[in-house]
Amino acid sequence: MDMEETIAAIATPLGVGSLSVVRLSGKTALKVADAIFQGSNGQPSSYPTMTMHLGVIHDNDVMIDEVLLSVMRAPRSFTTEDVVEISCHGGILSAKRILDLALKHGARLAQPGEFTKRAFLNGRIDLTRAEATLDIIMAQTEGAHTAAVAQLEGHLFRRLGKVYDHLSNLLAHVEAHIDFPEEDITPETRERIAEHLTDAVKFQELLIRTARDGRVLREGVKTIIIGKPNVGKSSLLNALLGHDRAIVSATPGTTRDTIEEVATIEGLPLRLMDTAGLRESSEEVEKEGMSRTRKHLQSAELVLFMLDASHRMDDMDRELLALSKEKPLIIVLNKIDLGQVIDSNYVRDQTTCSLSVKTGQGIDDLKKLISVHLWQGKTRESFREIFINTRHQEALQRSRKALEKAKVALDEKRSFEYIAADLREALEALGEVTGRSVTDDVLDKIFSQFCIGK
Amino acid sequence: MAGSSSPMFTHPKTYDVIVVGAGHAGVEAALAASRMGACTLLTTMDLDTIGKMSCNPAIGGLAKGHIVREIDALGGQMGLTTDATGIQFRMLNRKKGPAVWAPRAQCDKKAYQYAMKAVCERQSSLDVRQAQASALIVEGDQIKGIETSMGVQFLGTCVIITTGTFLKALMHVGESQQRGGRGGEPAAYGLSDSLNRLGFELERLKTGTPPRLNRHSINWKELTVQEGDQPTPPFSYVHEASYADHVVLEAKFEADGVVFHVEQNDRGWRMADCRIPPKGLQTSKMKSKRLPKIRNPKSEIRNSPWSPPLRQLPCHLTSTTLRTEEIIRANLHRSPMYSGQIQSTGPRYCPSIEDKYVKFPDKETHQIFLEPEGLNTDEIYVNGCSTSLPYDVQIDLVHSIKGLENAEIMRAGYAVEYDYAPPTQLLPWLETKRVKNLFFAGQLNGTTGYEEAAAQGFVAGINAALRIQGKKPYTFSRADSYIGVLVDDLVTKGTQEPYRMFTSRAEYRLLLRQDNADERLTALGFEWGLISKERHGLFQDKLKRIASLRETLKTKRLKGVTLQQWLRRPEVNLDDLIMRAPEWLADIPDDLKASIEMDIKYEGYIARDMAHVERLKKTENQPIPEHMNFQEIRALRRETREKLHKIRPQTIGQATRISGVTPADIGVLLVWMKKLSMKPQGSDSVM
Repeated sequence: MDMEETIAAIATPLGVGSLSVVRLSGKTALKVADAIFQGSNGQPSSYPTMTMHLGVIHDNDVMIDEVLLSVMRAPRSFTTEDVVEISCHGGILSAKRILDLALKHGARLAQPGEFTKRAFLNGRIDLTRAEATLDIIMAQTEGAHTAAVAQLEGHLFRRLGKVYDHLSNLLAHVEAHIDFPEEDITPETRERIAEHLTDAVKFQELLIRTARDGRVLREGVKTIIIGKPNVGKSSLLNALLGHDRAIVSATPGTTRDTIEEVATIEGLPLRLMDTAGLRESSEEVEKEGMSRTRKHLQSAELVLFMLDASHRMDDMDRELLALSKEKPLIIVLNKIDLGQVIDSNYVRDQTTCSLSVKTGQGIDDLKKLISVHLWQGKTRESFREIFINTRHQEALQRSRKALEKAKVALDEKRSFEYIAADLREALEALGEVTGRSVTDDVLDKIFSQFCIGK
Repeated sequence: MAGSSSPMFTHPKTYDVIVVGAGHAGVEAALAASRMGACTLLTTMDLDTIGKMSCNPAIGGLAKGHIVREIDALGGQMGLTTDATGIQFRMLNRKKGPAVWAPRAQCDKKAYQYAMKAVCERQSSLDVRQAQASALIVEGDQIKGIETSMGVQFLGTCVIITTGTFLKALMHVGESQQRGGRGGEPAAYGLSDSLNRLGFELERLKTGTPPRLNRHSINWKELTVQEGDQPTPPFSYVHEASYADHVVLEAKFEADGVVFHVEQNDRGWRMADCRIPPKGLQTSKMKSKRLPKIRNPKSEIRNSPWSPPLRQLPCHLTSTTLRTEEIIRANLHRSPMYSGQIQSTGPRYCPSIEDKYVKFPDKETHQIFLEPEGLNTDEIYVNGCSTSLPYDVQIDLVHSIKGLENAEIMRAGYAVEYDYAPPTQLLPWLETKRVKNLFFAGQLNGTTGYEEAAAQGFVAGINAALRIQGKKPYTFSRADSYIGVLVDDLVTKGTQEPYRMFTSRAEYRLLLRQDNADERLTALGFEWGLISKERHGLFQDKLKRIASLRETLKTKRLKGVTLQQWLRRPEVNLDDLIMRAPEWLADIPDDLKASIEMDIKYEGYIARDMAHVERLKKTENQPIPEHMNFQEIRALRRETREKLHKIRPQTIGQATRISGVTPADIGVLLVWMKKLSMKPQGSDSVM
């Protein structure tokens, strides 16, 4: 519980309201904001206190959301530390991604009641409020305790435990080699250690991916339907949703705004976005909609690219296809009831589904394809137990980063104590989740595996 | 509390500090306290066993060697005496990075012990007396002195107990049991009962030692020789080339004479940090031994390695055989460890030979080191062969080892069980929570090893002296020393097996190196008056030299690239640069090279550790009020409350390290503390 660290959390209740607020507090709050926010008028660290600014949150060059950012500098803020609040679009996804990004740039996930606790410890609020906070923390302690026990039995914990064991075995080898030079301990070769590290990284990636799977389960995958105007995008959306949501019209360009709906495909959520048709247009609004589509494409996790099977592909189709290919992609050949004219050789190497939204022919095939894509062949049963959360994910990512450093150190032929330092960092990150003491565990492993006795 | 009803004689001289026991902990405690000006008494059951090496004839090794360097950097004695009496010096782990190098020395056991005795005898402000403490005198919650088995009361302000393995000690050799703390020596009984009466918890631990063999009965030709390093790496910083000046404290045991004497030059004693020249020594008898004066410092430094005063001896390596395993398996039922005769826990890292075969059945042979016990004894220590099997089995066992087919056992190996006081009963400066001004140090606290004992003795000694001076106690930190790691582990986590230091116990291993213990600690030793002005001056010179070398590396360029940048490359080392840029880098003393190279090569790692340390310091600087009642913080889980109540952490940092205490618990604690500080005193809890 370090008061020096910058903490971050979603400050508004999840899934309620049209706005979500991500709050940062601590010495580096402004620095973190600088890294993720592009304002129209400079960087957050240059903003005066008690001001609000329009800009975008971006991950490298990918835009996440358009937001309002407020700066409250120490000591005149809720916690008396530097505080940044980011108001983004409502719904869980945007806030969650902004939070993830802040964590990636050095903030730590705040613990329950931690903002209030800081406010209290820094003398900002009075006893009565502090006691309420204490109740929250207390409840959370009990809650966390129960949750931890539940997790002990859980799938995630077993999996994390496996990585932890694997790595602590490896560290035990390295440590034994360092601490007992006079014993006849043959160390693992660098090649073997490198193999172990690669395995561990793979395993961690798998787990991190289950974080994505867990999120998919809870929040769905952002899916975008792309295609030329009037290719049947809105109709497909309606077909997948099972009711009329978007305004369907035979006039190109009817869909001017982005429509987002959650469809249930084989029991799993799919966040479907219908977009304004992409085509050159002189209309301002239309332009706006198209640029939005391009941006949405960047943040999409799955693209349904629609072609009219009854026409030949034109330059625009090809251009859009090239754009879409950067993302996981399913090609939908619509209007097969009008006869197939299109040369399917262009899309031969892609997952393709021929259908007619109008007749309903092939829609079920598409749903199956989507579901297969989402779960990559896994059964839904296997995801029932996974509830890897942001804290787990953050620990795993730190752990993986440290392991990658260890690999570099190995490649550079650094001496074992440096590899041990990286391994220890990796293990400690995991230990935070599993609640283990690395030193004790490693010593236990050394003495059970090596006969030490000079 | 009087321990006996017979009339007592109260010793007329009263002391500031009384140290009970003169092993490795007791000696450091007594020397540190007296050198800090406290009028000190050192008592032992037998004056001839002061500083006795009960088990292996060696000091140092991984982590332990680091501890000795730290004790030396602070102005303690262990390193100096090791240098004076060592008969083989090595720097372990040379093939790995400098962060995990560690010095180790074989010592002439008797020379070591008598050198220590001589140092204590000659130390001003220190009285050495043969006396067996049988009870503690306590008034209220404060210690007042000790009673001895001869009915004498010694009164003192502080008492440091360092009784090692002697409390209710029971030795086992096969089915035979004998009361005693060390081969041929009695056990101490009264003190355990006295501690029990005062409410201290005592538990049992076990340790063991291997047989000693007669040198002449060993077939040496069969065995692999292990020589010491050349040049010999010393333990004490004052013997390093970078200190550019030398002290010689030389102990020699003369086989033909009865006399044991310690030789030193007149400056040497000051350099050895006895603040006042020894009593009763004729200056004319002092033999001065100094390295030639530096004419041209540059060339001198390179070529002035310290050389040990005693003749150097090799060790030998051998191994057990399949026959060893047969003998052990056939006789396991006669081992007290396996027959159930011994119930207490022994150290996992120092298993008996029978344990090794039982726990690692796949390993057919085990490595054995044969180490000389001294220059003037024929006893050979069989390292790796600790055992408590019956005498007849030990003979067969030894004979099954390569090269020892006809070896004669001069002393049998044995296991010893003894009382220890779980160290969670102590504050982080080793004072007991129960009785004020009473300190525990050494094996009594559940540790093992001379070095671990010495470190604790030193900590207790300086803190007793600080108490006498009316100053606040000093707590070593996990970030500044292995001593800090050791004491913090003991008082925060306790121990269920004999505790030994490993480098893997230290979070900041890359910072706590054997090459920089003086940079970490010497200023502190100087502040306490344990480091002489001369030595401190040499230390300052060394720091200046390091600073100027770092500047050179930062500014000078080879092929347009700074030397520092070159050094960052994994494949380039400092010696490569020295060869290429001798005009800037010539004449760097060897002992400096490691530090300089480390700091640059691994600056990323070091910076990461430093950042962690900064955060640690913040929490260490948040004291928990002394009379905090953890039991009334009902927002905490009951288990957590009880743990905090038992350990009584001194700082938030220490509280975070108690096993099972979660970050959320710490959050509650912080809020509670803030609340206390905001409320008028005496108001009731609302939680």
